Amino acid sequence: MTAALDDLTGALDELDAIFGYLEPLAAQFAAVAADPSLARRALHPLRPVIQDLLEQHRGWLAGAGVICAPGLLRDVRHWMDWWFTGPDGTPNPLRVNLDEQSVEFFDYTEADWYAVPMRTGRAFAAGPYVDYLCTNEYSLTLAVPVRAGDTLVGVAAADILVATVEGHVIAPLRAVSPQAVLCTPAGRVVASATPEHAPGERIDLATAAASSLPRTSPDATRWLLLR
Amino acid sequence: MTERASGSVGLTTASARAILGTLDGPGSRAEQIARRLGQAIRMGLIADGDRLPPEAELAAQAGVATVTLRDALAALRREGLVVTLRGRSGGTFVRAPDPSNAEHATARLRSFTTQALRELGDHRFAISGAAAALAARRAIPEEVASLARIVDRLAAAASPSECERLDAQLSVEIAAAAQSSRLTREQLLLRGELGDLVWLGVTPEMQAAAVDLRRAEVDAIGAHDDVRARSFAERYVQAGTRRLLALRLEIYDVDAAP
Repeated sequence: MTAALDDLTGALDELDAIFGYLEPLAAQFAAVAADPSLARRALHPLRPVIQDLLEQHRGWLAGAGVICAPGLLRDVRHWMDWWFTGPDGTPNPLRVNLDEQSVEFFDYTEADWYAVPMRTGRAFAAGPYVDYLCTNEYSLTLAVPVRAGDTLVGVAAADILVATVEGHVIAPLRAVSPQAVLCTPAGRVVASATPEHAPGERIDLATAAASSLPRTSPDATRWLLLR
Repeated sequence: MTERASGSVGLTTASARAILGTLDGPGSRAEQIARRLGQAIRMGLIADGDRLPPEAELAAQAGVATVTLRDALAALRREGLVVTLRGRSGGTFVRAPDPSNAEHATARLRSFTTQALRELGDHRFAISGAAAALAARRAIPEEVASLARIVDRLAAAASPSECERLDAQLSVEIAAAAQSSRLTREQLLLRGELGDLVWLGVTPEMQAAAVDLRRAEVDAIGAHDDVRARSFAERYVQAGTRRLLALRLEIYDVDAAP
């Protein structure tokens, strides 16, 4: 039982390690963003860093990139440089509409994976959610805020498929209890050992006995366990 | 990524997937891609002046060889729907016919029989109803707040094309709030089939009634009331289908007039 719980937190530690993988990208983004007259082109040197990240952690990551705070760049107000691994295994650039005059403008400042790290200054695991603008897969986004000096200049982030997480947590979760459910603080099921629940379903935490899991890192997923 | 001053990147990843997602029809792969892209341009799903992604990337998204995609683009160039410019700021750009042209919308509606419109309505009924019910069970408050913001923008929308886009976005986001990537994909593909027809012939009174139904649906989702959410979603789709049937029948009258 305790061993099973250790296995479960161990699997979550592997997931949380992704926050650490983002550090080199965040550092390079911060270095580039120190230039006060930054244009989109200046972000191009980050692309090999993003592609290396995707290549090195192919088993975990579905996509990665950087998202700029509005007004950071001099040539456009909103911008993100995002890459996802295509069906053939090569990185593809994400195309979203970042023209605020357009009806189809994608205002990422409303997305959790941008808004929460920018508001709190701390790493954040967003989702699970349907990533219909990118891979259309059921995904998590792990994001870290990026500072240049005292200023938050944006976030560096990576996408992980919920299916990938399931592969790592389902065996320890079943070992913890046949009733065990892993959910977000909002009550969204990430993985479930019981057929009574499935990933994506919502649990009413007001009536469920959920406990937090022992975590060591301050940058960690804050998911809850029901058993 | 293309880098125009506006921050627009041309055809987005999600639109390209919706347009090229499932190729199944008569003709070669190149003909099918040309037909799908041509239809999307005529429907206004790809805007005039939009830059298409590089050939290799678009080919990968359609799951075809680059040479096949090149053949499709050549066909669109002959139709005058795209132009290719060389040089540093070059690329393949969309040359769309005026989407506000009522004649063009009428011509598109004429390509449907009333039976085909009823079938399309049934498909939307199934997808939108299920998405609303599941969203009511699964959505968290942040997602409901996002849906409510879209309804507010829909209420304030001034042009039919703006209404169409916001309405489509709302349907897609409700399917996403249902936590279903499959239902989300279905909504994106349905939009690819229907496009601007959803909002064809809608008067300001009809817009207000549509906004009321959609707001009631979102309120029911927020209240975790799956039965009511489904019911409002179904009523909304049925009202739209009735309006399209009425417009189609009027076109039959016009065509039959001496």
